[in-house]
Amino acid sequence: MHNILRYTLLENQRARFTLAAVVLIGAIAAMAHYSSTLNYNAGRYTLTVLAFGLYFTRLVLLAFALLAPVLALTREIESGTIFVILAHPTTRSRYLLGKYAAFLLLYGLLAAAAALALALLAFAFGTRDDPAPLRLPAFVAAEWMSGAVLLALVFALAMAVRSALLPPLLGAAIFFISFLLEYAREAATLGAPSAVRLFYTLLYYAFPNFRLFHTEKAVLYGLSLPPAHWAALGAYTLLTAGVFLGIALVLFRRREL
Amino acid sequence: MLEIRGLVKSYGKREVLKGLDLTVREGSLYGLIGCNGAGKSTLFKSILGFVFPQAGSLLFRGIPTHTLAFRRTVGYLPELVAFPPDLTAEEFLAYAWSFHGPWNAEARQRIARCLEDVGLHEDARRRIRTFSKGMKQRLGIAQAIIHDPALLILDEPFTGLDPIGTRELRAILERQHAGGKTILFSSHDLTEVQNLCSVVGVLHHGRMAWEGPLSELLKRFQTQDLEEAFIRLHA
Repeated sequence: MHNILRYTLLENQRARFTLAAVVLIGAIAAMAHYSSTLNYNAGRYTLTVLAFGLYFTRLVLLAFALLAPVLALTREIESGTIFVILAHPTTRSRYLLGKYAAFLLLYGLLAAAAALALALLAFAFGTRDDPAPLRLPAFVAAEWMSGAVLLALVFALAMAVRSALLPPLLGAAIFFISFLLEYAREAATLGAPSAVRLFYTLLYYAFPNFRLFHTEKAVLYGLSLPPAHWAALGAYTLLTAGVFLGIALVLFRRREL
Repeated sequence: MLEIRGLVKSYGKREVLKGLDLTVREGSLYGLIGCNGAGKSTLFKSILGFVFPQAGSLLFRGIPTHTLAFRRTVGYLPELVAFPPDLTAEEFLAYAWSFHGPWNAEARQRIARCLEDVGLHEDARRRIRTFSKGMKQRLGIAQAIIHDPALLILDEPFTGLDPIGTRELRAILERQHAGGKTILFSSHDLTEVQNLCSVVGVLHHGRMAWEGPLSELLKRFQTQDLEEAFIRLHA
């Protein structure tokens, strides 16, 4: 599995992933810096830059998780590269897990690099005694967990649907519905009939909950995230990503190439 | 020996292989011929486990061909060979080798030897996206022989090659065969099959219409031309 991970990383590096990441992170930093001139949260540069920067970073990470693995997997299957790989003694499970690990690593690197760029920006132009940039590792860790679930979901969709377009669209739909369900469930608790409440509660737990991974408030306003919260988040990540990866593996093993 | 018995494979209602039997003896160079849609690629994909047959047994030296043990003994060149375009030839061979053994001095030597065998040693550090069709085909052969397999399965290896590429590929196959490998390949180029093979199989609508020594097939139709025999067999 490690060889598939290694050469997938090498392919991405050669395909100018690093350059694309630098450009995207530069764009995130520039947009976040520009947003501070809009006088939002006047006088609090760090807060504004981080608020916008983290938002842009999440959008870039979302786009990466939805598009990159599907395009790579579809290209390998459609072009026939996969025949050359799988003719050697490796299993389909190892192949898929190697790809997953590679994209998860790239996702984490992208999140960490964007957070580092925002921290540097905040230290360079913000108030030196503002501790918010020091809380960015919490954002990276939570984003990485979110990425683990999202990537596993996209892998499962890519194995379920033979298309390069549908899995990212379905993944995006599930991602946004998970946010809407949170609001719908909250609204349903305000006087809705019990059947409606039950319906939304079931739907809420059936969908992966990406809102759990939001740590912006903790980063920006210094809200504490106790170890129990991280443990729960980690367990949720392992369980959800595990289920989606399991589905992806079963579908891939049954798929004719 | 590669032994296939009663192989049945359907795609939906379309039956592509209808109880196919095939025997490739150790050390033979076996040419599989047949019209488009006869089931040649499906047969190879079934052997490699890329598609799942509904019935039949596929054994190589008594080992089922869907196992990892079989894949350690086989080298495969698909019909439309493709590689990660941004890796170099040397890197891709290292990737292929990584499934078989550790990265050490022997691995480096083996890769260098394979590249030399297929005439790509001067292009070892070029990205594959810059390769011509013939060079990709030769790299495909190199990755198939990197682990010194006992059996080589090549799906239409001569397709799309110019005369020089064809001659080079023929020489590579002859060297591999002389080195003791069992080779099974499919081709529409009957002249190449006639030049290279001692045993042929003619696949027709998912069944083996003929399997045996080339000389016997030619004798049966009283001709010296495989193309002539092939057409008459189909008629």
